[in-house]
Amino acid sequence: MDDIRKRGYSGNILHLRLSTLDYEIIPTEKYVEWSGGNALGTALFWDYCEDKTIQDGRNEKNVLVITTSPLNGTAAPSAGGRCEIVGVGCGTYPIGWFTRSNIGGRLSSQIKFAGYDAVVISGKAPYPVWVEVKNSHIRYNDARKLWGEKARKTQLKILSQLDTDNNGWGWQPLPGKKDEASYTTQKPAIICVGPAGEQQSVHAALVHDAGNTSAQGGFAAVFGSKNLKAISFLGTGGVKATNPMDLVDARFKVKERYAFNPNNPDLYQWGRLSKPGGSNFVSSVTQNSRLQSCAGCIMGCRSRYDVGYGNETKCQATAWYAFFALYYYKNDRQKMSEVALKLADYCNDVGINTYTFATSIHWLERLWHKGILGKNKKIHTELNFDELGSEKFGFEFVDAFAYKKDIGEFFADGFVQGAIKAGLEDEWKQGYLHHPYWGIQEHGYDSRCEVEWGYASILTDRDINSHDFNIMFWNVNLSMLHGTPYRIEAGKIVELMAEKLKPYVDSPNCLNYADDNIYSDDVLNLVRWYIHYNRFWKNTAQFCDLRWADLYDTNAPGNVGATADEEVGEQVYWNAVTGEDISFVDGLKKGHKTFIFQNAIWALQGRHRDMVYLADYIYEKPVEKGDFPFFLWPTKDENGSWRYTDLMHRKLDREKFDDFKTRFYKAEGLDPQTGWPTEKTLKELGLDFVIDELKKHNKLGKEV
Amino acid sequence: MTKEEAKHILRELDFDDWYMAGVMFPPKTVTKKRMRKLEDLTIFLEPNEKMFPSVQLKDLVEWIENKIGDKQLAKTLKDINNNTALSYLQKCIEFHKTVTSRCKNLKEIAGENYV
Ligand code: SF4
Repeated sequence: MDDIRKRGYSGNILHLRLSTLDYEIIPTEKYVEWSGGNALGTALFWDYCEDKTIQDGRNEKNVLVITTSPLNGTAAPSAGGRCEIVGVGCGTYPIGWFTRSNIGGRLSSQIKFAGYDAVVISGKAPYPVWVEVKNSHIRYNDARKLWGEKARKTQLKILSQLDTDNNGWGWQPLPGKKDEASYTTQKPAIICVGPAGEQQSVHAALVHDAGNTSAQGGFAAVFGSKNLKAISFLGTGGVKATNPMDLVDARFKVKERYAFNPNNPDLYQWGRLSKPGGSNFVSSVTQNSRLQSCAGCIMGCRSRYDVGYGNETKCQATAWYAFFALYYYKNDRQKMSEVALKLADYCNDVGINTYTFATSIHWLERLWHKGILGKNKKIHTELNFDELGSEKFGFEFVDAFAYKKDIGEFFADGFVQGAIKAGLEDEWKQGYLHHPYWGIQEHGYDSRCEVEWGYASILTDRDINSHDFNIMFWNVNLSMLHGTPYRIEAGKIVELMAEKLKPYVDSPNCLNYADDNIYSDDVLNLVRWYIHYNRFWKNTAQFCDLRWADLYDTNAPGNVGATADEEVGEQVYWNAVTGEDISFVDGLKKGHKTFIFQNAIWALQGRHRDMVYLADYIYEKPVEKGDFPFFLWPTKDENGSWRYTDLMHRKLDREKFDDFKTRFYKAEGLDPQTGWPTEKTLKELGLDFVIDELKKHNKLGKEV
Repeated sequence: MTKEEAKHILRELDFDDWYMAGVMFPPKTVTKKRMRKLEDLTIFLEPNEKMFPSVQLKDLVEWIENKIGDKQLAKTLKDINNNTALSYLQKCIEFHKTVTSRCKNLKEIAGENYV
């Protein structure tokens, strides 16, 4: 066994060459400097995608990388079961950027147990295929009979085909030598597309097991464009940590310090790591459920129910239709939950991104009532929006998008794209269609109030979807809602958080969201930390967004969060597994490097700083009424006193944001005129190999 | 109040006057829906442990006053909203009670079978 296999790596990268239906094995050793996850995926994309100027992920030249982290398959808290996917995506506007997505469950651990750290997918299969990976045994299978099947059936059929000798025990036979174990009780982890992915709709989602999806980025459409129905991974190996006892010690310590008491849970706890409760948003239809989680999670967030539906569903999938159903069924909350959960199941089954519906369905309803959408109207539909809220309408609506028919066909490339096609661009610009960054839906937190979310989304490639600071919104605003005292006062919370952000920031002023401070260098440095933290600790090391970063936590003495902590911070698990000795900040620096690397790809794709702006309504209209009762966030007044202030009714200033962007580019080492990486920065970061390609395309930034 | 006035207050508004209200599924999301008429509020304002109204109460009162046209109800709700002793959720509960009983009375005036 070579050295890296003792450091959390499996040792191999699998390259599936779909056009020729063969594969190659690449030694991970060659790429180990990229750590894993997002960084490793970016490096592999760079090497294996010959044309980095492509502007739509469905282009045959696109290369998709499914990639793991050394922490996957280990006991690192809420980092063992996440899996990163990178490549050129689709659905963003004006073009499909090189982007990322993440999926939970057992996928990354099975990939590693099978002996791989990443899977590179290139080319396009001549006919629909699914790929079987059982340890070193790789086989392409004809998927023509699976084409058209939903995700659940697809996985069940693959499972039944894998169990080839009908041993009746449900054990999986393993191809191998006679003297090796020939069965395993492990279940394969399958990632697949449903009909929506086959149809190459940008709203499609990759699905694994019942409720794990990778939706943002449009990678399911990329699977569809490559004639790839599914990949099944089954492994009998393990993951070795360099210092397993350090890992176990830290895991116990974090539990002792942060875990909630199940017999007496603190329902008003502030912090992220051990927040009790699942993430199914609607009331359960049954009391009989049990928790379910991704591999190695410290606090599972999904449930399985005895009613047989809604299993493992979570987040927006369970919420987007619930409010409509509540009205349609005249305040029958039980029925609302039933419809919401059944529809969530169905969305996962056909493989659809429900985030896209959360904002757009209101806009479609508006078009319906304005006479723009309807039978033989400007945008034709057979759907009857007067039935919005009914179970029947919900399923028909999802079907339209899953099978690319009716409005699902009209908007198959995105809602902003559809609006422009229909001559309704103003609907977007004026904010009736809430798609503030890169033409995709708002995540739920308005960029005019929660500026770091909007800034980081537009300065990267899509909705940043990272709740590191956003947790404060929930903690503070729910306290106000309930009329309970704040668990941590504004002056204290900013101190606690700013301490974690050192040395990027030197004062809590980075969390001063007052109108006159949101374009300051302090906020700018918070945004830099936020992006770098994501690119390394979250997207590369793969700490789950639901639990990390933990910047404050009322479960711990002094309300100090686990992030960056000497004994239980992210770097402790990383070092225990990989045997490296990096600091928390070293990880942020790696995140910076990956971000600059990605800026080089975006430049090649055609990005220029002039394209980097939020939708017009963000600068022109104050936050609309009705979203939230209040949007309390810390601000500092002229006397230096902190308090939580309501930020509703704010809009952003275009010129000031533009100036912010200029300073951001300078601070990152990007050319402020264009946003492109400069030679000096690339050299300093060890990205010299990128320079020639940028020069060739005239995309190398000028020195500041 | 006349039968006609009661019916007027209970009517469904034109689309442009519908009120976009949020409902919060803490701790992760807010989803929205348009309120078409006064009675819609009786569902939306009722909090339970998984779902809270998510709306600016002052704006909601203005909608009742200016679009629905029930000045009397708006005045009562304004007083509740101005009561600093109440938390937001307590105010929602009071709003819910008040609007529900107002709708009941209006329906009685409008006629037994008023829908
Ligand atoms: S918190 Fe939920 S999504 Fe995150 S790792 Fe745990 S089970 Fe998976």
